[in-house]
Amino acid sequence: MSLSPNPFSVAELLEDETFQRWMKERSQEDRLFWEEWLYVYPEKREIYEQAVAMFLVIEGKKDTLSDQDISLKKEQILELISEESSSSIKSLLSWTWLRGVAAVIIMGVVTWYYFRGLDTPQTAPLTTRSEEKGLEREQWRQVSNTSQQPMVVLLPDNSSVVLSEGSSLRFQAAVNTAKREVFLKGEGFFEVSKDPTKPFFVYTNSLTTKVLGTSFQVRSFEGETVALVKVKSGRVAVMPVASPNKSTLLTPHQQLSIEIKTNKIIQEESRAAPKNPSDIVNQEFTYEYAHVSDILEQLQESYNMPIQYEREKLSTCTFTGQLNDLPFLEKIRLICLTIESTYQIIDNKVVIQSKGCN
Amino acid sequence: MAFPVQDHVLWKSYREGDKQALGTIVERHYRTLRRYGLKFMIDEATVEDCIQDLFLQLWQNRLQINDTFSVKHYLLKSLRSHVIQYLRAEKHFSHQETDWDTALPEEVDAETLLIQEEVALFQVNELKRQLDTLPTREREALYLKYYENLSVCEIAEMMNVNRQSVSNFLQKALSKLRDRWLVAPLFWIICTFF
Repeated sequence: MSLSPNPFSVAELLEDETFQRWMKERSQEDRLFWEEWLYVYPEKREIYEQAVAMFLVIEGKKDTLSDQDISLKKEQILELISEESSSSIKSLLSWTWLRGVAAVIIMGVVTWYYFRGLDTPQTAPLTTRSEEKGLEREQWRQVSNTSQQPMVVLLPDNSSVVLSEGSSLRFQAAVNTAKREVFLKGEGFFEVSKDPTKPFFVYTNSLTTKVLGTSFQVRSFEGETVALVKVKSGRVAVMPVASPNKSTLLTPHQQLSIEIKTNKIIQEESRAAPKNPSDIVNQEFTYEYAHVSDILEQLQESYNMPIQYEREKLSTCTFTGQLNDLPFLEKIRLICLTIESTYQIIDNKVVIQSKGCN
Repeated sequence: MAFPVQDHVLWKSYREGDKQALGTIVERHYRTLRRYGLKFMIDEATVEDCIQDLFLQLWQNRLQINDTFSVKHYLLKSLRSHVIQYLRAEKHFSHQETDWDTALPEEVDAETLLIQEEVALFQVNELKRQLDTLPTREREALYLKYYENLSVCEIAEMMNVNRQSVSNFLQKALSKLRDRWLVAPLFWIICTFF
């Protein structure tokens, strides 16, 4: 659950290559990453802002060259070179110029010797890539919820999905791929574990949703006229399948719906008065000296996942903290960590072992 | 996605006589070179001429040019000696002092950069004032380190000083800027209150 970079000073952040790339290129994708980063490290906002200001000052004036200008310069230089080659050496090469050239060449040699040892050929990644392909082909798993209640699906990357009745989800059994991808039919509430190096994609018939680690709800039932994505926390990007380059950025309490027939997109704030407050997308998981047994009851209910524990042993345990938007197992893990207990998953049931609290 | 050909592959092709490879190197590094050259407070046309001469010479001397660890570093270093040679010839300037431009960008798009507008405006201006007080060598070292991402070793080689001096430049520059910072946000808070 750590996002790199994780700097302790402005200088450290300034030196970071992902930061430099973001500042230079300012791509939408990087912006998404840094928004997420600020969300994960709210305490580092100051460092971030100082680093940005510092970068802007060091960078100075923007250049005004277009890509076309650069192509033109390249052509001019190549032309000059061609002329030069045909008409042998010109007066340009007077003595002063030669001196400059000599200095450059010598320095070049020095660098080369200095770094030669580091420049080893890289052949290793080729083999890993073909292995990944093998895994990709085989191991897809599909879970369908044919019951009358929502059910929780635990994904291999520790993200969790609360899958509504009549919905199904297909996902990869292995985590060692470049991105995390799931296919959804119906409705699911996603709590995605944070890992910006592996973006998480949810594909439905009409919409694709991309996140780096956040919680949100996707609804896309066959036979329904509208598909919907609703964000609870973090930021997600949504692309209609019909026009995959048109991505919309959604922030908490925003939703995007698309009319399937017309592909018409509507972006709006989530309704102020939620239709069903017990829906997990509307619930809060913030606690202050709350009894752990009460919390476990709530989790059991919200995720529809049985949790087994000894009520008496936990009667003196309380928990204070914020568990919003964490995947189901991460919530359990954090609670267990605070009350010095352990947990296991046995027969689709969470079993908590505790010695109680003093 | 096709992976772009790596710099050192282009470098090798160019030394074997491939003009198009050198063309691609031009395309890839032109912006970087021009931006760096302009920092020395010389006009655009002169910087562009220096870049042109630099590549012309690279071509003429391709048989004597060696392999290099970083093409970008090699080019920046060469441009630096071209620029300094120009300054020496044209402006009769003494060995030590070059200029270093600290002009600010026209505008800061705070919203895109995920920072607060007031913070951006205030800090950027305050920082610029501090940067102006630094010796030009320190400003150049900061730029090469945090904008061009060169290593201390590479910077030392470019600026013809030892590595320790570069580390010192950087440390001194950063700590000077940082010290002012402790005062700056407080000042800003006071400003918003009154």
